[in-house]
Order: sequence, then C-alpha cells, then structure tokens
Amino acid sequence: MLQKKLLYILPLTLVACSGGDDDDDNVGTSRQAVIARYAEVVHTSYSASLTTAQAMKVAIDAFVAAPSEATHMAAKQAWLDARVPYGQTEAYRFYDGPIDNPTDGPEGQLNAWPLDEAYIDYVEGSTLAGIVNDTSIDISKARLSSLNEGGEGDVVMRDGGAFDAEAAVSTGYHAIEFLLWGQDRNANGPGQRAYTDFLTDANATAPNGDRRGQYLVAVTELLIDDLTAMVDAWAPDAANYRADFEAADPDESLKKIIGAVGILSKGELAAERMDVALDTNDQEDEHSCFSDNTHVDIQMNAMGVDNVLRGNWAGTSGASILDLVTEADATLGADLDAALSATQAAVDGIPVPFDQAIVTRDSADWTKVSDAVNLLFDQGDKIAEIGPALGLGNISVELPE
Amino acid sequence: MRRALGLLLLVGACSGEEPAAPAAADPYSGGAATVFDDGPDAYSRNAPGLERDAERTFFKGRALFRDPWVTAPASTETRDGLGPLFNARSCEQCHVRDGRGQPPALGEPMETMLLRLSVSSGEPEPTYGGQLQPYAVLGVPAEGTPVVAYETTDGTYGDGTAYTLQKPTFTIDALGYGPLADDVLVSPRVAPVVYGLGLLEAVPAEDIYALEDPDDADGDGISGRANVAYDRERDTMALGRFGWKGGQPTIRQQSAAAFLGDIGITSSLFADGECTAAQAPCSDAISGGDPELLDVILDNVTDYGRLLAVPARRDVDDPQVLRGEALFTEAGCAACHVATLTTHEDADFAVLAGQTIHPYSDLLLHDMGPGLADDRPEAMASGTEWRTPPLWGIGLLETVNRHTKLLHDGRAATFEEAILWHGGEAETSKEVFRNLGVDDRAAIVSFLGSL
Repeated sequence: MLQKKLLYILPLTLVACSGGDDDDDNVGTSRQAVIARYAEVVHTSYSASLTTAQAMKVAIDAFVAAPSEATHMAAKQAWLDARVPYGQTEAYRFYDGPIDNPTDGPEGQLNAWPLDEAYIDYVEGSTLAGIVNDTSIDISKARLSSLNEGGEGDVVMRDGGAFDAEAAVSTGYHAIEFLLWGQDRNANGPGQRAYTDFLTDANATAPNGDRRGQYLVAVTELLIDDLTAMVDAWAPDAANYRADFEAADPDESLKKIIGAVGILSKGELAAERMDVALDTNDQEDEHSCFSDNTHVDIQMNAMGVDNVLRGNWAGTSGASILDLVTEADATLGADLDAALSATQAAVDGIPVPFDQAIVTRDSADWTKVSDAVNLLFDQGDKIAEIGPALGLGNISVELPE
Repeated sequence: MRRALGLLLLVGACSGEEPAAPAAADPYSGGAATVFDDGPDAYSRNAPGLERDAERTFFKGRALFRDPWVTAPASTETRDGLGPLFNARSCEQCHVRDGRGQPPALGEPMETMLLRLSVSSGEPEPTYGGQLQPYAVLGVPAEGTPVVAYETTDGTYGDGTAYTLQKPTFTIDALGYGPLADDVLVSPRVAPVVYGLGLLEAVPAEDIYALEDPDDADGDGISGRANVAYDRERDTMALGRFGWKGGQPTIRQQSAAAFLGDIGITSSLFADGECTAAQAPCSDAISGGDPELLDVILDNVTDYGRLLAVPARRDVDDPQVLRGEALFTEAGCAACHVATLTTHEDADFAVLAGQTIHPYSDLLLHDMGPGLADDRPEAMASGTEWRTPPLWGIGLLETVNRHTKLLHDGRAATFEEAILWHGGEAETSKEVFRNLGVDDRAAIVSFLGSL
C-alpha cells in the first residue's frame, strides 16, 4: 500500500524538478522569448483593435453628420470589421492585467453583456425609454462611463466588495451595435433599425435623433480611449505593464498567460457564451444579438486561444508555449496541437447564424454547437496539463471573473 | 489529495511521534465535495471529479449567477425582466465571490444585504411588501433608501477585559410610495454564503428531526426545533433548511424566492410579481415574460449552488486549534453547531452522496434571545428564533470577502463578538466563553479560523 502511494507521488516530483531549469537559451525555446513574443502579439492585436475602432469612428462620424442608407451601411460594416481583432484579444483577460484589473480595467466598459437596451434607448412598447430620450441626462463620455456597470459578473469590488445597482450595461461594442442595428425582436435576420432614427427632421422615425447620434459618438470615443489605454499598457520600450510583465519571473508570467486561455476556453467561451444558449434555446441569448455576428465572436475568441498558445498573429509566428510544451513532453505537445486544431475547426463549422442553430434541442445544428462546447472543455483540460508539464505547478483554468 | 494526506499521516505515525488524541481534525469538511483552496476563490470552486454533463451544468449556472438581468423588453428575452423593483441586477452582486454580504459603514449605501419588512401581525408591510427594494428600472420610483446607524453596548469579560458590541439599525429615506405602516418591523439580513448547499440539502430530513428536542427533554437548556415550510414544487410541507430562519425547504425554491425578491424575476415557483396593489407604476411596467425565468435557468443556478464545494479545513493538527475545538464542545456550542452529519446515498450528484460532512450546524431553529431577535416570524420560526448557520469555510471569510462581519445582519466584526451576541438557548455557552481566560478564548478563535 505504502509503496504504491509513494510511486504515485514520485513522478510528479521528478517532473517538478526537471521543469525548473528549462529557461536556458541554450536548451530549446527560452521562456523569456515566449513571453516577449506574447507581449508582441498582445500589443499588435490591441493596435489592430484600435485601428479598426478608429476607422469605425470615422464611419460613425460620417453617418451621424449625414444619416443615409449608405453611411449607415458603412458604419455597420466598420463595426463588424472592428470585432475581428478585438475578439481575439479576449485571451488576455482573467489575470487582472490591464484589461480587467479590479481598479481600472476597462473590460466591463468595453464589452459587457447582456446590454440593458431600455436603459439606453427606446424599445418595443416603450418609445421614450432610455438615456437617449431622457433629456435631463447630459450625454458625454464621462457621464456615460459613470452610468455603466460591468456585465458578465464584473462586480466592482470596493474594499469589502460592492456594486452600483443604479448603473446598467450601457457602453462598449454592444451599445454601439444596438444603436446601429436596433433591437432584434424578429426571428429572421438582425435588428432592423433604420438610418432615419438618427434624423431630426420630418423624416425622423424616432424622437431625439440628435441625442441618439451624440450617444453613438460618445460611446465610440469612450471605446477608443479604452483601447488606446490597452495599446499603451502593452507598447514596447516604455515604462508600462508590459515592461513589468517581461521583467517578472517568467514562470509567473507564463502561469497568467496559460490560466487565462484555459478560462476563456472553458468557463467563458464554452459555458457562458455557448452552452447557456443551448439550454435556453433563445435566439437572442447570444453576444452579438443585434447584428447576428455571434459566430464571429466565437471564432475569434477561439482564435485568440490559438494565437496565444502557438505564438501566432495574422500570419506571423514566434516562440510559443506549444514549443515549450513539445520540448518538455512531446505527447502533450501533440495532444495540445490536435486539441487546438480540432477546436478551431469545430467553432469554424458552427452553423451561421448562431441564433438559428441553437433553437431546437438535439437538432443537427444544435449538436454541432454542443460538440464544440465539449471540445472547448477538453481543450481547457488539456491546457491545465501544461502547468505540471512545464514545472509551473497546477494552474487553475476554472474561474472566469 | 485524500491519498496524499493518508500517506503523510502514515509516515508521521511511523516516525514514532507521540500520538495525540485526536491527532488531527478531518480536513474534508464537505467529504468528497471538498476543495483545497485557501485563496480568494475558495468559495467558488466546483466539487471535484464531476462528469462532463455536471461540469457543464456547473459552469452554465455560474455564468447565470453572475450575468446581470436587464430591463424588459430586451432582445435577449431570456435575460430580461429586471425589477421593476430590485435589490440587485445579479446574484453575484450580493453573494460576492459566492460569499457573505455585509452591512454598510456609516454614510455608505446598503449593497450586499436586504431589509425584510413586516407589521406586528407578521404580515408583509401593506404598501411595500415583504422586502424593501431600494432600486427600480428607469421610469418606476424606487421604494426608498436605507440609512444605517449603529447602536453600541458595552460589556466585560470575566477577567475584567472590556468589550463593545455594535449593531446596525436602519431607517428608510426617500420613500417612493408614501409612509410605512406605523408598526413596521425592519429585519436586516446579509447575503449568506452559497457553497456547500447541495450537501446540506442531501442530509436526510429524519436525521435533522432526530436532533430536535423541542421540550428540552434532556434538560441541557437547548431545545432546537425544525422549521417546516411549504414546498411549492411538491405541494407539501417539508423541513425548512435554507435562509436565516430556515424558511425555504429546497435550494431551488430558495433560489426562485431570491430571483423574485432580490432581482424582481418571476418564475414557475413564484409567478406573482413583487408589486403591491399600492404600487401602480410598478405593476404597469413591462414584464419580461410570464413567468420571466425559464425553468432551465433556475435549474442551472440551483445546481450551481449544489455543486459549489466546501473549502477544506486548515491547520488540522495545530494543537491550539484542537484545544479550541475541545473547548468549543465543552462549552456546549457543538450542541447546535453539530460537527458531523451524513448525506444520503441517492443524492442527485454522486459527489454529494453518502458523504460524511462537517457543517457545524444542526439546521434547526433556536431561540437566540432578545439581543438577536428581529421579532419577525417566518414559516414556523418565531421572532427570536434563528437557524443555526453552518460554520464551515468561515475562517476564509476575510480572504474571500475582505471583511469579517458575522451574524444575520453582519453586526459582529469578530468571532468573539459573534459569540458574545448569543443569548436565549445559547446564553449558558456564551457565559462559559465570556468567563474563559484570554488563552482559551484565543484557542476557540483559532479553531473557528481553521474552518
């Protein structure tokens, strides 16, 4: 009995001992190089998020200045384009880094969900709802920021833990999406807001078209401010978060990087963003419900995990965690590689639009989404194995915050 | 983990150390549903070894526990129906990190607790209903703003050391629907912890009834009786296990009651909204559905509470901790804070079945005396009775929730203060504690800190 138990403990000890001195440049991939490549990918992807958001701002300014079918369409396309890089940056959440540190991380202001539509603008059956139609509220970046409460469990913790129940989710990508597309209360296709909602003349289809435009511009500016802060925090050769991150014990930085993608894979993307909708069978229980762009959100989140573990960004590659794993444990490296590929293939194969795929339990489309959830869980469990393999100890991939 | 621990104990025994009695307490407070985490996430872990389906359920429930609810009508129909009157937008807002709420400091807003309202007959307050909702959706007046004050009481330990106890009292400003009834009673309650609930639900009711001693037949001064409450799902009376007064028989019903009272979400179990006849702007607001809560969401949230693991005990072989537990037992505390219960074999999830657990609760009601009384009956509980709250995990409160506030309204700032507030059936035990020396009192605190 006793011997058996000793054997059970022994291999773990050996792995722990062999893992510690791998970060030597002469022996395979250096941990420092992996972290440097990670920081480069983070900075590049936030920069792409900022650039596409700035392009969206140009399109939105043009739309608000001269609302028309064409300027409206251009603004919506710019929003869709901006979601592509941002979705991939969600892999940098979940370790209290710049995006979601409890003091001033902007995640809850950038991407909170579900959106409190009636808190922002008119909704079906309530034509004068929301801040847009409450002329006592001054619409400015600062005011909208103060009225926003983070979503997805982003409870604002003062010392001792507290929240502001008077604030609702009213900023970020999904607020812009709602103002551009409008409520999606129909089964076929996205929201049907007309550009005429932004007019103030006799052709206006809703009151306060000018305030609606001001709101749209202000939340877009807020989004750009927040993304700029992320780019600055990760800029090279500056006294910023990145400098500290690269100077820290590489093993500590690696633990953060790995835990974050595990959490995104399992609890956040698979459970929160996909599996709940499989249960509720609610068409609009999806992140980009106004635009029906949820399949892209899912694919980009999965790609964010893939980027981080492979050291990839937009066709470029570099020293990666997958390299480290493969050098330490070839079998786990091959398994992880296979898990990443299988997961990406599964999410890329999710039927479009997502909201039609999830409405009928056990249908072929529903099952495809459910299978992708299982693969994301498997991938999360596989990511959890990286910690011991690299001598980092156990890394929790369980708790999205 | 259990294996590794067994090994350590075995090695310890082989090395010829003097065996103390008991050598160590059981770290597995929740049996197989115990998690070894003593950090800020200690209350938020799933029970280990779940099958994939149960694991998916846990994470779905976790998302739903944390996501905010939104004003109806929203595109996301399954997530709308907030309010019109509410205390919070999500479960997590009060049950912060799956842990315990606290009363506000002077001048601060009340955030992780609520006020129950009633009149002297025991009925809900006629205008405002059974609970104050300080917030409302846009266009509907909120009910009012709680304002806290603190009353203090001075006392002295047997050894002459002075102490001061405080308790929060609340008045309600900015009443949205006119004056409160003259005989209104206000009962402040902090949000309780949500881990380990599945284990408590899986303790056979007969085992709890067996602990009752309503007429104090054994003459120990402790009478303990079960609350019996209406089980809406099964349409029958059942043992009340959950809530500060044990007013709810199941986690599902407790959760549905909280969805209604705290977030304003109607469900199959509580189909009628919270607006009273005197609150027309509330009744006229747009509903998020009939009912607003899908059963499948309630099921996921219920199973989340069931599957949240109990943190393991720490310092289980620390002599000070072990001495503290012995003193706790000698003082009679363990007569109500029962150390060990066993769950039945056919619990819904294998990890909850047939487990030996250490909640330090009998789940029974006890008369706690006038000092703790809120004079507000609930189901069969009187205005002076409270259900023994489980103590497992309590030593990690500060780590997780960054405060140390205990008891139903968070009046006690330390373990000592919580004990000193005990009265009624616990008066004798409290007096034993009050007359212990400083070292013995410290040992009991060490024991509680190890839980």
